[in-house]
Amino acid sequence: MNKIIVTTAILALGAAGTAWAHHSTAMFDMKTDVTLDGTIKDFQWTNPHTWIVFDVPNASGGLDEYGIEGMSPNYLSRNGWSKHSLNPGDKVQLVIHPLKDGRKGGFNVSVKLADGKVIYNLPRAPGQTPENTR
Amino acid sequence: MNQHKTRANRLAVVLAGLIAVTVLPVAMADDADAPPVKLDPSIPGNTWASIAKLPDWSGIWELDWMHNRSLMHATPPDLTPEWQAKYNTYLADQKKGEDLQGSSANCFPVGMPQIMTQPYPIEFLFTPGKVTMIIEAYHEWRQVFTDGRKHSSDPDPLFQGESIGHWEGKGPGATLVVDTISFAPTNQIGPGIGHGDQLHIVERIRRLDAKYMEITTTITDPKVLQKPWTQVRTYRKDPGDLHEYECEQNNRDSADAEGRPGERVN
Repeated sequence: MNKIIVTTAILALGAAGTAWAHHSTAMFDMKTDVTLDGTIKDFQWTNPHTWIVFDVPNASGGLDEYGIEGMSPNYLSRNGWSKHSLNPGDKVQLVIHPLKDGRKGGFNVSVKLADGKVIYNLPRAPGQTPENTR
Repeated sequence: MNQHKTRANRLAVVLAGLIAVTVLPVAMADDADAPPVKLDPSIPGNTWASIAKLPDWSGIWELDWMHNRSLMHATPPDLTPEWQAKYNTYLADQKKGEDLQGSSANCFPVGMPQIMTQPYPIEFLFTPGKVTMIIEAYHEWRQVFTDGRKHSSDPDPLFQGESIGHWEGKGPGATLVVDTISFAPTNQIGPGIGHGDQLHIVERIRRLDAKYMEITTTITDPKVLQKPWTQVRTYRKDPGDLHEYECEQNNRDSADAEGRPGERVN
């Protein structure tokens, strides 16, 4: 299985409400992590959100296309990301908070790059400082 | 004929002059809320020399939300029964999948007070008679007049409201007190909570130390709140500069009329 669903007690950042610049996170299941293995089709380094278009092999031998929303370039560039962090063709593993409505998409939590390095879209847990998250 | 024309022209000039004489004072009276042309040098911040004595707020300041989250929830608003009912409906609608997105999801301006609690930094600029806040989120900005003027007698409703400020105290911990009125009807004082025409926001902004700034915000609104809603937040100094955040660039998750997430999420 290339899809592992783990329910975690990760603090729902959406509860902070005002911490979200653009919109509520109510459309995402912020308590659930889904791990996806696949290939980057497109990485949109744009405001108000970055987007990863992600091809994930499905059971019938085809590809499912996921739209993964991430924090914006102004935020991510302060946290070690750049427009070159992901490139079309990169084989990576994503952890996302999935859309509640069942569509193939979600909010980016982290990306494990081909070399094993993990880059985080969001701070991970309460008590963790911005410094050690970055 | 020519003489007639000239006479007519002269008459027109005289008439125009008369109109100008009668109308101009009225126009100036309408403009009485504008700042004095010459700023009073005794008011802190009205001259470059006195700006040099104001606290150093240079750099960019970001809501310290990682450490502040509990603080934000420690002081919920005390809503009037009417607004508590509306807020309950809002929460119930969210459970039905509606109102999940606010208007900012469609890049509509956030305005005061929520523009001050976005997760992106703010830069403060001091020029004679005015403090300008450049807010990275949505490219919004506020101007706080510190030149000694009073609030306008009939201000227009604005996303950022009309802000009049003054400095209290001296030295690095001096406090900028900002008094803001007259808000756009669409502004919300919190997610799902609107405001009345008497909304009044007072902010006390001061630097705590080298790394942190504190903003105490007191929101008064007799039509929405049973008692003033006071929030204390810290902002930390970030390295670097402001970045671009243009919401219209690639907004794939805009909301429909019922506030449901948009079609282009996937």
